[in-house]
Amino acid sequence: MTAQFTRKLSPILLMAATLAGTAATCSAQLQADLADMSLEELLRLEVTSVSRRQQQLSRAPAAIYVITQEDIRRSGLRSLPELLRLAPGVHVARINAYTWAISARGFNGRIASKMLVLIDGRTVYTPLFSGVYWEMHDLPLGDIERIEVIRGPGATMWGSNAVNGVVNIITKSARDTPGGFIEAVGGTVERAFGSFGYGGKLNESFFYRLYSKFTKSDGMSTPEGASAGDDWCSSHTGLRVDWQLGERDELTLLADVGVADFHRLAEYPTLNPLERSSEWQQYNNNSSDFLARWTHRHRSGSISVLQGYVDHYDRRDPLLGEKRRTFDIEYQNQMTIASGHLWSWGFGTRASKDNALKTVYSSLRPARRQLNWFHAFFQDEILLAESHAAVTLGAKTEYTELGGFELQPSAQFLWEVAPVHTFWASISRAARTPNRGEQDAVIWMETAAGTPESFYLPAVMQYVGDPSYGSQHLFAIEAGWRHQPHRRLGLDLAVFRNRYDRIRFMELESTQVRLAPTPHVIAALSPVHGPGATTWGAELLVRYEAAEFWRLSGSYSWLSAPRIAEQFAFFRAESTEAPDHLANLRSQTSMPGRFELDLAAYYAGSMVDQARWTLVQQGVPASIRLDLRLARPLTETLEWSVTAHDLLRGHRAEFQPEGFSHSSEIRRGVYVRVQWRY
Amino acid sequence: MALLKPSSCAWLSGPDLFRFFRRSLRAGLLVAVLANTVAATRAAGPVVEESNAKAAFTFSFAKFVGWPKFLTDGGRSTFRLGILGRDPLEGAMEEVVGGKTLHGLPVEVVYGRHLSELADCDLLFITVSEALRLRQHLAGLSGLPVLTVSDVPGFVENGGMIGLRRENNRLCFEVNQPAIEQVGLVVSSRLLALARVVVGESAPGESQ
Repeated sequence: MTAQFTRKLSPILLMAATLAGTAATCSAQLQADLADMSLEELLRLEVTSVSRRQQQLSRAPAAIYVITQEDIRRSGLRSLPELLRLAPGVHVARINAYTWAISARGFNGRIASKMLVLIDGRTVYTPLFSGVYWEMHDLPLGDIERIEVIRGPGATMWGSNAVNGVVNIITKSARDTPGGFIEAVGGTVERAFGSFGYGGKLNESFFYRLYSKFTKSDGMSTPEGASAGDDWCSSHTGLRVDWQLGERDELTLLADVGVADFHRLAEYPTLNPLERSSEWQQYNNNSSDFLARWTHRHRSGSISVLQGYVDHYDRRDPLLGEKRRTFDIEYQNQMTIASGHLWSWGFGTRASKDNALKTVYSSLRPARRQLNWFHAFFQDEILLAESHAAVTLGAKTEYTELGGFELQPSAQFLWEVAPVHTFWASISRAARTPNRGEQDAVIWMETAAGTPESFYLPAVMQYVGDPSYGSQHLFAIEAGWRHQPHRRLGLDLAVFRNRYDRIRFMELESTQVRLAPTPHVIAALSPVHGPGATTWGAELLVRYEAAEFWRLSGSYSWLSAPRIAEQFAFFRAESTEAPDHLANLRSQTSMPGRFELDLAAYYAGSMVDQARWTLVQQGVPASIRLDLRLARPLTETLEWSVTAHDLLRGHRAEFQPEGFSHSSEIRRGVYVRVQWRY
Repeated sequence: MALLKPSSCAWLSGPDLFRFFRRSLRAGLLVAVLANTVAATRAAGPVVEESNAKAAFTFSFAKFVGWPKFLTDGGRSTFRLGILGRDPLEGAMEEVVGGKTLHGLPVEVVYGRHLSELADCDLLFITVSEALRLRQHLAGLSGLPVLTVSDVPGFVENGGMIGLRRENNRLCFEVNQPAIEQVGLVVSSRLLALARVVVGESAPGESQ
């Protein structure tokens, strides 16, 4: 298909390439001539802006890290969840080829339920278990402008589930991606990727971008080194339109359609506690979404944004399948009030309708349910002390059918002691509203061996959701310091103390003796709120420009979480745990001959226990991932790169299995990428 | 390939979905080709970093504004161009105007984060970081013969003199003529003619 595109386009490509080449040579000498240009010439000049927004973000009174397009390009990482490894303090663990456990500040898991993830303003966590199906969001990475990663609660601005962090993925405006883009990747583990993009304009105010991406990935490895059989492929096609309507209005439209196909070996419990039945499974996903955003810039400088989206997906996953349609609409306004107040306020509503897939092992009661949300927020940023300090006060109130009313207030303080010293501190309360699974699910988790309590009969451990299960709250205290002791050296430190009012546990609700087909006991376990837990931690980021051609950055984060499993030996549902120590070190070198040599090491400490479903205590040893990337542009428009990933070991585990599926180990691999812009 | 296997999605089955893809891609491609042809026939202008362009605009404005005091005050040795705020155009001003002259005087670029450090400037560029303190700054400058330029939204409406604004991929500017003339500066009609919006009762070059 791609070849066909190329043939059709080739005359135009040539022409565009020639023009692009001319533009490139122009810009080199342009700098010096800018001052000599006439006003008329200046008015005709096209401008781009890269770093502005990032500078504004560095003033935020929160632990924020921005992954830029340059970071993405030079990391050599190939998927959205993998990219989050670049952010300090974020634990990214690949459970198998297409499932990830991602969280900040503890509580990690496939169903990590305390991170809010947004793609271009669209919330992508599922109300089924408050987690994210990362495999469904396979965007072309070159179209991402930046990823803002906020560690700590962001509930006042973002709403429920922004408890431990927010991941905000923002794609480029169609205006900033003129021309075509073709990328092809081939390798040993990341078998084949291809993406195509084309950005153009109908006139000076209507810009669009079309894209299509295809991914095929091999399975990961079993602990013995054989293929785990979890290979997958996916394809996405989409469109983005940025349309300037008059002087002060802008309309953005986004649409994406995706299909994906997954393989896996699933293991189910049987009535015999010593036996599990295995089954090869193949299933697919369909997803589509459409978003429209209207932005109006008022004469006074304030900005109004009205946004609505429709999101549909059908996951035919035999373990955790659901069909869901979500409608969301919201309005936000930002205005500057005289005497140093910046007000932000907004309100919105969302409706999400699902239809859960029923299997022998799991079902939802009721199988169909519609959930509605209503929310409103207000925030005031007040400038103090000749504007070198600011206090931000805000609150979000939210109503959900699952959790009732929630008030999520926050107070933040920022003080710029000097241009190179910034301190910030904040206190906030955030809520994690219950999900469908916690209220409505019935899952056959495990068959336990007979004990005197079960009359020596095998016990079927059945999870039964509790419709009255309520919200969990976090009270967080955070502080941070940003310092630039030298032009080439930057430091960013954040410390936090998180107090969760109640941790989710499981309690034995009832037991029943069944005689057929073989005598067994059904032990029904329901989620209950247990005692609270407190976590502490610190995150440090250091950036150093050793030379014009050599940039280094490193981060280290430390987490102290109580070992809840040791205190309560019985079934538990939620773990506070993630590695106590996380670190990464990256080096980017621009070498003579226009070679780029980039090295990245990611370290995750050992995890004592991640077993959520079973009584067996398991752990994950500490591991290091080492990636190496070598790239060189061949011409102005053509570039190749070679990336070798997981260099240190043939295969290594990053996480424990969850639910019925196996975890697999990540394999060492290498891939070659060729990219052509025209 | 497994992807092409039919699936039973309620509203579009697998093969349908692919047909839909192909159709939409083909349609998109046609649009793309047409648009590119249109774009290619138009002269492709050079692309520059926004900060650099803003610096160049600011420098140009100074050429079209007269400071009467330069005629009388012989004691001045430089034209002081101040940048107020935290993100001083990423150093672009110095790059663009380095070594240039304005009204016969070499341009000196000075940076500051307080208005008090920059009060003796001839031209003041106020960066976005000062958006909330805008009125405070403008009040502090009232009556002084300082040309104020800024890219803060709503600058001109709030009493600033020349506001820069990005519209699509280009920059344009708005002029507050009364504010300029009030402090004794003289603004060229050419500048007013090129401005997108001119604030003031007598606006000879009303917006195009």
